[in-house]
Amino acid sequence: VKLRHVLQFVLAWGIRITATIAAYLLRSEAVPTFIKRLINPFVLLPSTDLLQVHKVTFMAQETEAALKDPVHRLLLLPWLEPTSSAYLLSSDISEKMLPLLTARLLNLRTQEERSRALKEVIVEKQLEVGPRRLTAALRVVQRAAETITSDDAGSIFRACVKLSEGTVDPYQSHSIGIDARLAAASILQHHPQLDESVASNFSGGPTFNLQTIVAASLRLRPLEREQAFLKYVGTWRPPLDKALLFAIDCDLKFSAADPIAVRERKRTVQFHRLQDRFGPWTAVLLGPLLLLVGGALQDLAEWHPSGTQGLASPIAGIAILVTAHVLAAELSAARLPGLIARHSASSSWLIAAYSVGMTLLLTSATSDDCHWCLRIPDASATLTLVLFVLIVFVLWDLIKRTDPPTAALRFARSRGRRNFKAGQQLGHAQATAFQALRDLRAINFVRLVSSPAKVERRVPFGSPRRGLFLPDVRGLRSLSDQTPWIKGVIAVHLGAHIGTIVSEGEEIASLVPGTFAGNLHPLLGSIRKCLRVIDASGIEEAAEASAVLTEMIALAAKRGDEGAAARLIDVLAQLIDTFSHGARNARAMEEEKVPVNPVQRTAVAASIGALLKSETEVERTILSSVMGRLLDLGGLGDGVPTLIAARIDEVLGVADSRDSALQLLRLVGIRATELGETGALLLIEDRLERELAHPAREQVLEVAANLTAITVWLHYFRAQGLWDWYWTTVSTLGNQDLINQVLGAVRIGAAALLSGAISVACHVARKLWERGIDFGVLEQILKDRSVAAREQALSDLFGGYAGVDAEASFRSFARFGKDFTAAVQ
Amino acid sequence: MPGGDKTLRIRFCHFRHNHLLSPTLFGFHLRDLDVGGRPVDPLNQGAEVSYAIVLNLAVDLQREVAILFVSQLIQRQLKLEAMTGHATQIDRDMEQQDIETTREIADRMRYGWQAGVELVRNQMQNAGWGLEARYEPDPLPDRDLLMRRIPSLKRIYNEFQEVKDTIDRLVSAIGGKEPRIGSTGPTRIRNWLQQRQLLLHFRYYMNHAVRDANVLGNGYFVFRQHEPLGAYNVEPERVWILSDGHYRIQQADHEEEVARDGVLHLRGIEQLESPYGISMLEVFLYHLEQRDVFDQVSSFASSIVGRLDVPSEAREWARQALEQSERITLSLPERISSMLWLPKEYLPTPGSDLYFPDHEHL
Repeated sequence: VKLRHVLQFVLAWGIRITATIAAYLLRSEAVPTFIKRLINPFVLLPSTDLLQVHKVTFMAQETEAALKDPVHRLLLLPWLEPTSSAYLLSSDISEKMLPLLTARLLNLRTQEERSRALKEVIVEKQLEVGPRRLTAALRVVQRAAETITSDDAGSIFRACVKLSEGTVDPYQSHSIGIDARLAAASILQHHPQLDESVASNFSGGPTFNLQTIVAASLRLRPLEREQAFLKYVGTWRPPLDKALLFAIDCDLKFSAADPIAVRERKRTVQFHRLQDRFGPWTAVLLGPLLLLVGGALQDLAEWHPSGTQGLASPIAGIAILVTAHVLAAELSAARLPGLIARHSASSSWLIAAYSVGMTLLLTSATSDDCHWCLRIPDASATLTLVLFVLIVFVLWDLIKRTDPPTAALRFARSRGRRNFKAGQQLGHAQATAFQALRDLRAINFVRLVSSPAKVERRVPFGSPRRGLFLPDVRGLRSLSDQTPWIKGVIAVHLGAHIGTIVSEGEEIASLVPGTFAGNLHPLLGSIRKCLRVIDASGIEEAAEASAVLTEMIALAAKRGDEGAAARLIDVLAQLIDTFSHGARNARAMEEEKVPVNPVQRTAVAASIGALLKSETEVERTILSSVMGRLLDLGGLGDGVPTLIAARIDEVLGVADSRDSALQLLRLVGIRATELGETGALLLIEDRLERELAHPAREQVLEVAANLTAITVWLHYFRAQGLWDWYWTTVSTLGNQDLINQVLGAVRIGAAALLSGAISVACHVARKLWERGIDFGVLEQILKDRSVAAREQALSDLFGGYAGVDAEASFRSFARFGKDFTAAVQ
Repeated sequence: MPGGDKTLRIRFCHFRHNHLLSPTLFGFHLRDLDVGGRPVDPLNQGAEVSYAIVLNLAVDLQREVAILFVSQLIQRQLKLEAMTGHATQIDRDMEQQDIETTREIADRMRYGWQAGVELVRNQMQNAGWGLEARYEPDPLPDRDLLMRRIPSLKRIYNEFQEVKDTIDRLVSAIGGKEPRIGSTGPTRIRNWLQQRQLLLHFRYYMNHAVRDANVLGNGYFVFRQHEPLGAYNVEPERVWILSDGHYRIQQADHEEEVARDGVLHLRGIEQLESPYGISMLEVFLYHLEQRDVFDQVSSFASSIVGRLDVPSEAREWARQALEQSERITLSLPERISSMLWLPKEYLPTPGSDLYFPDHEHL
């Protein structure tokens, strides 16, 4: 790039900036008229002949060189506004010019001008313009197809289709063909008026290329996708398998279960968190601190209270304190479960009071002559005062703490940080365990077995303590390096306990000498050192807390105290959320299936246990809502739906709880679909199939249909399989409950049309047709207001699969079914 | 091992098996083809028998497989030499011989692999044969050896329906449905990408690459470096893998060198040292050869059996040969199917839209 070019850029940008400022000032009312007159000529600067001439010259001579630099490309963009399409047709350009030319075309001032230029290049002078100019025009069509005028759209579309034909050889790279295909799809997507003429090419069967273009364009049509689909299928009249393949290509493939990434706001520091962190230490040190601060203040203020304290008042204060403590402990033990009672019986206020009381006792017992505690008699008055104030706080606090929800909330808050740390420890352990499992496979004398090998003579290794088993991979590897003879003659079997909590003495590994006949003793010590078991009391305490809280919820439910139960559910949710948050943060490997979170597992087990013992409907409702919260809290890989689904048989076995169990089944199914837990879904499908044998099967059919309908929205790729399951299962009933079977199918079909899963709607329509369902009659039934109202309510209650107007979407599906089955051979 | 006037030359090699084809495939005789792609008799003077053993198996099992192969080879040769008259029951005789050899080796191997080796040595000494064995890690280390097999491998895929069905099942398991694009970002972008995928025929190109890999040994999926971003396939015959991991691709009019990142190279069966893969259908080259031979025999015998101007012994031979050819040819699909039970049973039925139109066959 020469200096001349730099000057040209500077000049060009200078003029443009000046013109912009001038235009702004001219519009402003604050600028005096005489100034406006002065600056008026500057506004016209960019359109002067001088610059136009300069631009053309520049483009013609120097563009190639200048465009090598991306910065120069950027600088040039403002100048790329050709006044006519003549420039586009002058001669072919190099590869580097493509983005620039595309930008030029996109920057054309009016839609008509652009549309005319594109038609000229793509349709009329296709052979003259050269491949790169053609490519640039095709890319502009891809980006701005909606701005092409209706008159030009048809001819450009046909030219694009023609250009893209013959590009289906896998071993050839067709760049223009691909660009043309993309452009054609873009035009058809934005110009539905072309459907009529394009559909006429479908009679007798479309080409592979045209079929792809039409399917891709329908896929992103915002409106009337299914009507357009029917128009093409109606002209084509294909066999069913071809129609279904076409429908699959037209499917939007929407999945509402995809998580949305949102950067989380950093949590603010809350008072109770600070209290949790610093409270106990402050409480312990309060007495000595007061002593020092009080002494210092008296020194400064030269205040000397008269008299000294005897031992009577501190002893009396401590006695009151002890009495209150004992009383509170007994009250807590009577009203609260052990873990929370322990916490409730002691608080920071109590520790602070003890600290002050003991300091007071010490000061009172100390001699006045003591040199190092010269100010003690003066400070002890302050301490006495503080002690009695604290005793009042302690009494109030201890009484408040014995209220179960408050006790639970305070307990959960006070354990917040510890729970988070315990979660982190679990997450780290899981990540380490996964890595260890991968690495251990590479050590040739280590075998991973799911249970202790009983068929060989072995030396078992028991766990030295209760805790998380995480073997030292590096140690085992170095053992292999130090004793190469170990390969082939010694095997160390490691159980399936890696990364989980093992009990003391439980067999976690074994040494299998095989053919080795030497002394094993030195080896035992080395291997034992590598079998690390780390303390996991934090994790176990969190799990215990979740069990205790669930037990409290069950007790509140038994009493019929819904308010207390709701508050306790919130506390349980808070505990699980904190723990799981810590575990996920530390784990950071969502793609892997991770072991179940022990806190969630315990809470699920306790809730199901309570549900099995429940006697009233209120209890069951409250416990079901606990399950609902647990399902919501369980994230990817936590396996909460699977945990519940695995025990659903027991829940369904409880007398009088079938309705709530079926509701639970539905909730679990929906969450399992959201999280992609196939195992849970299989369990639910199996259970629903068995429940269909029950005489009261109406609700089962409803659950099965709703689950499938919501799956169509949540997971497109699972929808087809679930629909097949639904229809195969309900078909076993024959004509029993036919109306419910068909209504279920209509729900699924309507949801499929709304979510853009046309292929699923086609399958549903076909199966209903095969069953002899008349779509005209069906549409009449769906007009019934009571049916419509019921379906709208069901849809709104369970995810909104039928949209805002269930009646309209159901009838739309009935019409679609009629047209589709009539069109397909 | 020194012997009499005949020397058996064997080359052992290894390959990594993904067990998709057959979980009970422990090794196979690697057919040698000449420059024109025709099979070479491995027992000709100076020729070498290649035997490929699955690497990812227990060492004990690998030893047993190798010993059994050598023993079967010797016993078969002895059986052939001992045959008198016309060999019109050769298939049944050889099958019986293999069963006996397998039983014998299994008996001996109970006392350790050394006992098995001892048995083979005795068999060779009795037959007056010497043995020259060598080991080379890769079954087909040379690119030219791979290229000359491609026409035969294509024929296996196109002509054996059971094989085509299996390969299509494998392809279908990977690319039977359009891949789903999941996104944590805006829906509009996800939908746009999903649409692009359809328009660029991404799934079809991927399927062709997977099929090439499994059938021909190597499949190449080349990503375009410029807009329109997309991919296309390159036939294995047009690709050379350079020592630095780059690929040289021969186009119709020029040679193009593509960076390492622009090419996805899929291998059917991985070799240990060579960057090239080998076909999963190598096992069936023997079946193809057998069918070709018996087709020729059948054609020749048919021309004789109806003629009255040839001696009656010749007509009798022709009748028996026809019977044998028919028996062997008819049993081929069953024998192939018995090897491919795993994919047939556990993989989904292939869809009808796996490949580009008119490219359903190779």
